[in-house]
Amino acid sequence: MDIEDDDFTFNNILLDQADEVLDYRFLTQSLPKTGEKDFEPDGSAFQSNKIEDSKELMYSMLSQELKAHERQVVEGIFLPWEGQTLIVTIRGNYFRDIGRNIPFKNKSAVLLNKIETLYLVERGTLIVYLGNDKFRSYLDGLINSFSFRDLDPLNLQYVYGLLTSFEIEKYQVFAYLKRLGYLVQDYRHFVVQILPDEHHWLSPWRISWFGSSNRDLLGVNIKSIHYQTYSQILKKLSIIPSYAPYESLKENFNDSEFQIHYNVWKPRPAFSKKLPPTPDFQICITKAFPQLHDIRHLFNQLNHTALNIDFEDLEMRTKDHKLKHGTGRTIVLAIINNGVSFVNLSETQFSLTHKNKITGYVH
Amino acid sequence: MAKRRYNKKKYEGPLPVTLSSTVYGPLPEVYPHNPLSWAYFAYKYLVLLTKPVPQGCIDNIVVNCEHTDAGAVFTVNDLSEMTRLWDHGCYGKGIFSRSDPTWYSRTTRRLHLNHSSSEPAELSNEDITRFRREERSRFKAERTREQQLKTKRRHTPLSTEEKQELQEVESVLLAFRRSNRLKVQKEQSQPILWGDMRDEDQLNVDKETMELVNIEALQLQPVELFFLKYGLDVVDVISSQDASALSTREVFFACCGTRTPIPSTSFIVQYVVYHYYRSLGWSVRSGIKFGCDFILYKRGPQFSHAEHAVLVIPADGQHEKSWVELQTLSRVIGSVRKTLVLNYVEMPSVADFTAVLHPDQSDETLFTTLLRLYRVNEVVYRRWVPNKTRD
Repeated sequence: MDIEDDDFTFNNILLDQADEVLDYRFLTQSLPKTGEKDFEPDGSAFQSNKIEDSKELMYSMLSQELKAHERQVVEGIFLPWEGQTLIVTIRGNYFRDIGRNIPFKNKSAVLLNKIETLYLVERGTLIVYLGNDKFRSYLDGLINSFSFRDLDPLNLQYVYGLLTSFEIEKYQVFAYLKRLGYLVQDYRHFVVQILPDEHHWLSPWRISWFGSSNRDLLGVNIKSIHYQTYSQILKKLSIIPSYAPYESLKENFNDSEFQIHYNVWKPRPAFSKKLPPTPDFQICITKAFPQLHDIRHLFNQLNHTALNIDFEDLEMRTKDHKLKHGTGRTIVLAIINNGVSFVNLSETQFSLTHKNKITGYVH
Repeated sequence: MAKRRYNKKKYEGPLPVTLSSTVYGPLPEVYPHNPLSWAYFAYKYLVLLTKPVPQGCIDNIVVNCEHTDAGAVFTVNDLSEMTRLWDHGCYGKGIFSRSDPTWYSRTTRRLHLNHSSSEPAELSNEDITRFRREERSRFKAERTREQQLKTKRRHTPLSTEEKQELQEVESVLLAFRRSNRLKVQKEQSQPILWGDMRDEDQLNVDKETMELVNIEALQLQPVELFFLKYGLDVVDVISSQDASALSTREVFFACCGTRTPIPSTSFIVQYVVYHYYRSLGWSVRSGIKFGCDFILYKRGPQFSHAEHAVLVIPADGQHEKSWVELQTLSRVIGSVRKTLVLNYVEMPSVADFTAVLHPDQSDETLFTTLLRLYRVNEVVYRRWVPNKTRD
């Protein structure tokens, strides 16, 4: 650790300053805000001065060096034979969601995978050394002590080089969500118990109240039946079968290669790494858009909570919201195509006939 | 402009069917704990059964079927039947109009042919759009003037007259921004003489009676036509070749564009989805202007914007969409504030399909059996913006 105390205070001041100048939007408020075209240069000194000031502030902010708080910088040793990074002394708040705790020499240590390692190195909070044979002997208990001076520090380029091209893509998604404050973990499958309820399709006796009960006959017969409401006719016309949410749980889609990669939680104060709550989002990283059976396979991998709604009792507005956001499960796709785009896919059923009962999930 | 009242008058239900309750009044309510209400209901119901069914007394709508190189084209030519189809569930499109067939009323209004009647001709959607655009361009002219003055103020101080002008312009703009009512300018209603009309107008106006002859037709999409024929049986389809009436099966083949359809024939897959949403009470219209297959309105385009856009994808592994296609579509649909619904249609095997479509099968049961072999799967496609879902 080479950062001097002086450096640290200087750094702090810069960070404080940065916090103050971050909001340089206040400058634009004195410019007319009727539309984009107003920022077209009009040749007035008033406008050009304001724009120049704003630009300068932006550049001065960009030229700041990114430094981490000294007390939060941690040191780790990358173990090439395991592909993981060992962190013996834990500092800071980074390990709420990432890393796996392991017992280590009567204490506790954390193992990070390559993606997590790269994230912390790029953030400037982890200094990583390359583990050598001497360190290995220390781990095996052959030597009693070790010093970081015996190890070579790794630079960012080297850590990047550890990742395969797919892992780099996974890293992009991981780092993006982490920087936004989300809690991200590798996907873990929880067993889902399902009690499939009989489908309440429109009961035949109700349909046949005004006419024939032959399944193959539409039997609308508007010329011979006294209809009181349009919905009586519409019910008879409802013959197209539709997929009900959760129905895919009765099938296996083992031929599909799609799988969920990350469980994601919104930022929250309390979080247990070992026993996390149901994820808010579950993300599959892919280059190609999935086909229907892939989508179902992904839905089947989700960890979901109970859902037991009687749609008939819902108000119109709630129904509308349900239709727009799906009446069943939702999966997030992170699609890699010149960058990352996120897409929500939700199963829905406009006929709102499903009443499957799903019980909670089991670890 | 009292738009809502105008709409209420124009909407009479989701299906072009006249209900018994509209003609004879609704049946009385039944209260389970009150046996008298049961008896009264039974009495009213029996009385109703003795009366003729209203829809049985109405003639079917005549649809003309013309076979062209691009497939069958279905049109309705009678003005009152066109209105009936539009007002009951928004079927079809006027071939000279944006959606509902308004050419007749628009042209009557333009040529002032209704001067003798006391009621002014109804404003069409197209008229309202024109008024809105004119008002918008007046607003923009004022706004440009405001911006000119403000830019000038940044260079040099304004003169007293200019300051006053700026104030005036600002107050006019404020009035524009606050009002959400459309001011319709009264047009002069002097009749135009036959001789003063344009040549093309003269062709459509009867010289003796000075009445407009309707030349607009309502065109029905194949899915709409088949729904009206098979689902409701409210239309008679007449072939333009030999003036013969087509059976449901012949109409089906005309819609398919072939006499040997396969399970993934585009028309059938589209129809399954169309029928599904129609049977749920949605007003389903073509989504071609947004690049999808259908758009769903709660009641119809005259009331509110469509809420959902549906893309039909045959789920046979051969018609899958690429992500770029879907993302492009999603951007368009998102910008018009609709939800994109991917509708994957599962279809029967060729063997099952051919067995049902066998010539020996009766027309009455054939199509219902066939449609039951398909299944719709709905998936909502939405962008996820992690920035906006953090809390």
